[in-house]
Amino acid sequence: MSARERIEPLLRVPASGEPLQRVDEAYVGGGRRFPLVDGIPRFVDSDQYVRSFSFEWNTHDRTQLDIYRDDRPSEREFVAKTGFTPEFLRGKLVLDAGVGAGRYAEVASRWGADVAGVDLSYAVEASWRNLRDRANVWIAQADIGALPFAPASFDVIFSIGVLHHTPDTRRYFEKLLPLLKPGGTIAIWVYPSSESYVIRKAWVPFVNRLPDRMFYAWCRWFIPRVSTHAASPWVHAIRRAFPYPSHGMGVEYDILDTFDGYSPAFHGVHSPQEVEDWFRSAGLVDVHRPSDWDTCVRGRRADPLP
Amino acid sequence: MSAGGRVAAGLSVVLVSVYLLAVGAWLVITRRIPAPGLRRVLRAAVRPPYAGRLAGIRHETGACHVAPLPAHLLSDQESVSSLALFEDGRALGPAHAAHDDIRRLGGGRFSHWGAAIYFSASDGSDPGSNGRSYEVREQRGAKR
Repeated sequence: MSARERIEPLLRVPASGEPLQRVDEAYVGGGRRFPLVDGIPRFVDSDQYVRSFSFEWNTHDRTQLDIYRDDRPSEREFVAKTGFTPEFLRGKLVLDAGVGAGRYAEVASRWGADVAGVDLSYAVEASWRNLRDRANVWIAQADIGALPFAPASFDVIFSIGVLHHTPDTRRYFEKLLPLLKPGGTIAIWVYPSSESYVIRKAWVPFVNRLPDRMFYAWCRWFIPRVSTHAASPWVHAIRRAFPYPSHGMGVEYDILDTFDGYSPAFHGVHSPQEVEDWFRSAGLVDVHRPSDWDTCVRGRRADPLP
Repeated sequence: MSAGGRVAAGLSVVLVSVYLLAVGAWLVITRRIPAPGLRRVLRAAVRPPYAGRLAGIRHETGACHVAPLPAHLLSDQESVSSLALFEDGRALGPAHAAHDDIRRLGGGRFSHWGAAIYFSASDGSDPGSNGRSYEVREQRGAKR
């Protein structure tokens, strides 16, 4: 059974919850029609407040994907941020909330999970290009605050580096929880309230007003230059005032991540305790941090439900 | 890239650089991002360089440990720290490391941040109990 065959019976009209049926090139139900455009179901009319992600993931659609690299950074990061293993995910129905270009959906599907990848941005076109050949991947453009799925649909939900880009990180996290089956597992990573993220938060409201192409052109100019002179105290001073990444995984990776860090409309920062409290107050159990990434938290929906 | 594209990219770089410099100045002046006061910078330039052994070391996260330092030293939080860190007399580094890198990678990375130093032992051991001495020295004018 393909991911599409598993997911289609679970599709519902966002908000009203009425069932959806596939009719030709659309999902129809409850007086609503959600078309497939370029093969991708669209449950929203536009990319709303995530314009920058539409730009960046269609520009860097391959930069972070393991299938185009030898060093598998996405798999390493996926393991560190979720604690998931191939044995744990194999055969499970998994929601990737904020799929982007598909870097983590690629890992989960390679490990044998059936993956539904959703994103509000036109990044879905990048992830669709990257993963359309996999029968165990289903991609849709949808708002993670109003997803088109029945309650208790998924065995596993993960959202890595996404929820802090919504208008309210905690509220959007809580909107994912009803989609989890009893006993299902959720893992998230959000920006920590550490120094570089807090400094970046001060910049974001100014930088995100720049046209994407202009700021991106600047990132392409800036990152190679500061990388070349990384040992200079002046570059250190610039980096303290304007923190930019240096992952050691190539200049394209750092250009992408610099653009990613400064261009979004929303940039929430959170303490590890705060994130754990969201999990516990939502009634999740086995709440823990799977690694020393501070704001990676994983928990399980109680079974039976409290 | 076409000639027109190169011109547009060059113009973008100039305009965005000017804009970001103005925004950066505004963020510093309004203290939304850390920066030292002029008086503090001048004092730091004329007083004798600081040197001292680390004490009160506590574990932070992963490979990262924290020790207090005098608050008057200019740190990476608001300026550019000129502190070098030594483990039994041997220089550690890189300095100015990201705190997440210190936590996850260790290897002697350190960061002088506010009135504290975030650092890691060269071999990932606990600096509070590995029997080695840890000393910091201000190295003005040195390129590190």
